[in-house]
Amino acid sequence: MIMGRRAQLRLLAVALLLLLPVLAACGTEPQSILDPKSNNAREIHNLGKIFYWSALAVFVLVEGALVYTIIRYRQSKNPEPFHIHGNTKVEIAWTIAPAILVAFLAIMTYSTQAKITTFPENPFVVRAIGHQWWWEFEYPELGISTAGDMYIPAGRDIKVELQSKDVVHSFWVPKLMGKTDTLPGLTNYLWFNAEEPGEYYGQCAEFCGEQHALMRFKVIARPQAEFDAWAAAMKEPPPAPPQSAGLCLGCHTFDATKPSTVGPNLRNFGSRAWIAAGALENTPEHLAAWLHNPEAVKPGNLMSTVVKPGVLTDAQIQELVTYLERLKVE
Amino acid sequence: MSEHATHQRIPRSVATGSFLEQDSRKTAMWAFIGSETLFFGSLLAAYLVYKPRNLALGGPHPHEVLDINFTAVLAAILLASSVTMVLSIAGIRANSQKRFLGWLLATALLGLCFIGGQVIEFATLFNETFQTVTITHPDGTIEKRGVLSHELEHDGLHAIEAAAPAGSQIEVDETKRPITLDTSLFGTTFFVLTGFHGTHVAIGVIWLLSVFVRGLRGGFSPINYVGVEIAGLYWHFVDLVWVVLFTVIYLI
Amino acid sequence: MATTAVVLPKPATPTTAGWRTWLTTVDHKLIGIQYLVTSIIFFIVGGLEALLIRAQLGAPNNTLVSADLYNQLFTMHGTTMVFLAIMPLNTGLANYIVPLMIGAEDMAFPRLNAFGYWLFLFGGLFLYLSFFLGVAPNGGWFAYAPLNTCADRTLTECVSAGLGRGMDYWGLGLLILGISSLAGAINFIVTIVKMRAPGMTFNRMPLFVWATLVTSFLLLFALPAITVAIIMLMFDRIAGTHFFSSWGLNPQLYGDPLLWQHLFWFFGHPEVYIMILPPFGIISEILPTYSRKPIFGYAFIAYSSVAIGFLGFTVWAHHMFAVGMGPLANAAFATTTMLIGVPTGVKIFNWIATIWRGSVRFTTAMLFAILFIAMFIIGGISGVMLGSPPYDLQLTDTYFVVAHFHYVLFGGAMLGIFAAFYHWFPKMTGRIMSERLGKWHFWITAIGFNLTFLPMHLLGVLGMPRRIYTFDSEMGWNTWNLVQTIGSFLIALGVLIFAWNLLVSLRRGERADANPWDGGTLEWATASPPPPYNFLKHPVIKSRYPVWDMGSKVETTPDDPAEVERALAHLPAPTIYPLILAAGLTVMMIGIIYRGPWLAVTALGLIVSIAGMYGWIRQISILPEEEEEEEEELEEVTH
Repeated sequence: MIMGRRAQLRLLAVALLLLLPVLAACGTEPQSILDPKSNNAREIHNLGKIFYWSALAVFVLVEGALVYTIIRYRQSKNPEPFHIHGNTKVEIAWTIAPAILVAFLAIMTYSTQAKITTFPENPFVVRAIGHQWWWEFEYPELGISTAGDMYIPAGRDIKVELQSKDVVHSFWVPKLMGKTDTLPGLTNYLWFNAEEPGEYYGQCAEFCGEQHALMRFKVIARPQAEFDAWAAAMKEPPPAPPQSAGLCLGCHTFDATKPSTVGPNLRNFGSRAWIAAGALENTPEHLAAWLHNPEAVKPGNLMSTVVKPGVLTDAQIQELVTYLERLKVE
Repeated sequence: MSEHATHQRIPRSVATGSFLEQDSRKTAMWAFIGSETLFFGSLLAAYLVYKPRNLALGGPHPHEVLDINFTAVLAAILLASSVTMVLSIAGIRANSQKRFLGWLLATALLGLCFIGGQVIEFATLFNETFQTVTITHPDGTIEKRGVLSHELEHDGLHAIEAAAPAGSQIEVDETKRPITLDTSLFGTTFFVLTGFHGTHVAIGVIWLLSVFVRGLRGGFSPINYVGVEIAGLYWHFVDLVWVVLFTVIYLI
Repeated sequence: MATTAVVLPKPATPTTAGWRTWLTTVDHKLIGIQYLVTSIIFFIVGGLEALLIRAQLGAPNNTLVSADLYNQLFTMHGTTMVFLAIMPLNTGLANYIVPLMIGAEDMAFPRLNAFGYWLFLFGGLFLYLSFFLGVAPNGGWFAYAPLNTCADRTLTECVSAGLGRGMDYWGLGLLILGISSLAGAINFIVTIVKMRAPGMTFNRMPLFVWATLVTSFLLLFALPAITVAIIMLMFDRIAGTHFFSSWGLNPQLYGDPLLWQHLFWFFGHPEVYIMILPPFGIISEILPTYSRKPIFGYAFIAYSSVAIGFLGFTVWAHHMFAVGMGPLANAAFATTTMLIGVPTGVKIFNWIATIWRGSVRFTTAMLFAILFIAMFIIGGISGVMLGSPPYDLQLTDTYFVVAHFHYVLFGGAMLGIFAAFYHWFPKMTGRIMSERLGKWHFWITAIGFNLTFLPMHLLGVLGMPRRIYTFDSEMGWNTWNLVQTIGSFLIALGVLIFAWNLLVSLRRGERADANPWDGGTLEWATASPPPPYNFLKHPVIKSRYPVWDMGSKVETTPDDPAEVERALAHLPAPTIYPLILAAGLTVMMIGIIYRGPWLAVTALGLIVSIAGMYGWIRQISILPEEEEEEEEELEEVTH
């Protein structure tokens, strides 16, 4: 008996120990869902807390019962088994108990779902379009387009229209909202309100081919005035491209008011933290390496069907690096 | 021999009830048919899900391209083959090898006629072409229709113009596309669905013929004809599938 | 013994059967062993793939494997573990045990049974052929469209876009395996429904038999969905149809990528129960044996299997909460998903109640069974969390899901299967597996498993998506990934000990009598290993645990050689034709992949198949007079 209780306590301690990191350590990680930064992410997180506590209770009770049983009724302690085939009352009771818990969780689920799927009036619309393997962001109300970083006004309801140019992707910014897939030929929607300015990491969450891992993006929330200033600056025509940019223009554009054709819009390339959706940090050296041989950096990407080693000379690469890093919009 | 029988140990069933006393092979056949029902169900579901989509994207309308009278005859042939199958089994039960074999052969031949008809139907469709007509309504909504090329040549756009609201813009896509697997969602779903049914009929015909050959050599008797029965079960199932397909694709 | 004129039959065991026997056998016991051995090998191969995956993810920005190889590895790991390991392991166990449990001589269709095995083997080899040709499937075991369709593109474009022939191998391989599973399912249904010993009503059937019966029905109705889906996918890839394609060049034609997801998961979710229900049954046999107490709430356990089977067909779209089906559909599928938690919970309570007031012997089998319950509880709890659409939007496609289904399929199914090996190995071989090695296997697996998969919950919560071959060091995922990698190598060590234990115990294990564990179900009444005919006399079954209740009266001792001879004469003859037919069908598929002149290979396969089928049919439908003729011919030849 004493052994049993001690073992039970030991199990409880182990369980809590294992759960401790979940409860304590999280929040600083850039994609943690335990650190919500929008209204809807918080709603989901609150629902999650109910689930975690219920889970913990069920876990402790059932595992506790199991461990107690095997220790209490081990052969040396209980050499003669007690023969019983069943007990209908008990069984009905333990059918109803989980049913009640599950019904409670279902009701909480419906209520949270109603909140996060009721779209607000007059949201600010951003269109996020998935490509293999980068994100394009269009602002239909502003007539501009960008890629890689999604700028939004903080404190405003944002409605994201989700589309795909090729395969199924999934738009996910853990601190702002749960994920929703982007499907070719269909438009999906999600919404959230990022209350505070800040940078939030996002990543494609549906397997979409060879470089699924490198399809990252950021959401950059700024106070409305700063966002407006950014949008106005984006509309400015870009500085005149150098001669060597001719090859780029086949697929890219440097003008945010023109739609992207094949590759990402590069109007504010110099302000982006990453090259090729998270493949490299955006430094002049990395950019030169990328322009020299994109296939080596991110195998399978579309650009490497055109830009192979030697297609651009070192001088051209230097010229392009200088130009691209100048394309800053703050 | 009789001593042998007392020691017969397989298969043996405890419980009572008619289906438990059924021959194992028949039970297996029923299970297989259960599975096949979902097979055709899934294919048919795809056809139904894509029917409106096909029309919205300017694919041909099934009723305009399919010859319903012709396939009605095919359906009648296949239904008749179910009747002859029943007669064949009645024949073997009555210990009449002649009736058994005669009706069995008739069933197989009717099945062959059906396959022949389906080949003709497919060939006709492959030789047809259709074009997509885009109708832009005055309120801006766009409607697409797939129209057979020879009907366009023959009747022109009169019927479409008459049906469309006044002031609509009508545009005809000049590319003539044959009605095949890869030119429209109708072709995709229709040919795969009916093609798989046709394959089932073909397998059924081969099966019936092999039963026939065995029957010719005296393989079946009034107390031993499960081999005929399971082939018959399969055949009735394939017929039943056609009744459903015919109703859903051709009539509705 | 030496004076008897008739030589008593030597039961063919893994150690005594010659290679000819292995190719032609129709004995359910030998086929069961073939299934088990083959799928353990595939399990080890799938495990090696997992080790490579874990090695790659052990450190951030690792470059051990390339992106494409990584995608091949996780695609093949998933496909292998589902279709070539857990499913056939369950089939193998059921093949061996179910006929013994119900007191039958064999399966209802012994040749079909052999055919199922050969298709499984060739289907598996066919899938792995792609690996050796360097074009292993790389589109995920779920093969989503349009990533894996090629319509609107030429074959060269598809190949250059990384959509090589790998997924053709995947699709056609799964079609082969599907036929194998369908054949097995039909066989089990007929066997269980029609071949039970006198007195064994449905209400007295062992729970493992119940589980196998429900699983077979699930297969019967779930397999057509994936068969149709794969046929459509292959038509899209080969014939240019547009079932799922909307890759873009001709928007006038496209189909809906969600149709694939619906069809796939209509199969895919019941598939989970197909993998887990037989281990539920195993656990329901093992717990009573080592607690020396009948199962608690037999009817609840049996009917909850049926309930899970039915509900299993109504929950498929909970894999698709993030595709934008709308709140109403999501809420409906959330409801059914949560509902299915209830019968599952009931089972767990019944298992604990079975141990309650029992007399527990901690054999290796029992330890694994207990660990199964402990781990499955965790998998069940995380399953309910994933069943809530809002929370699932955060968790789906993250490592939380990977943790969840490994707790269900490794912590659940595989641990149950390990338990089954320790439990029934003596029945199959006449020798007991080493308990000492078994305990090592158990503890290392228990620790390694939790080290590997418990932190995955956390990683999911920290935002790590599935199926990424690399991650940045700033994401806060480094430590836990390293811990998992260490854990995975511990699991591998455990499996190594298990494999070693199998080999060693086969040769040198302690001898087992008919009933070494004091089990209560009918398989323990016959010798270990059982003779080819399983039972000579058939006891009338009067209870759920006939061996416990009737003691030695059920025991069959082959005392009369004449009777043994007669029993042997009744067994179906060995045949090579199932193997030939299965080989022919597989060869046909190779030609379909490469097309062009390779279609000659398909034609060859067709000829082989027809030959196999012809031989098979001839063998079973020999007319009475022909049989005599053949015997006469034989005599002529021998004289």
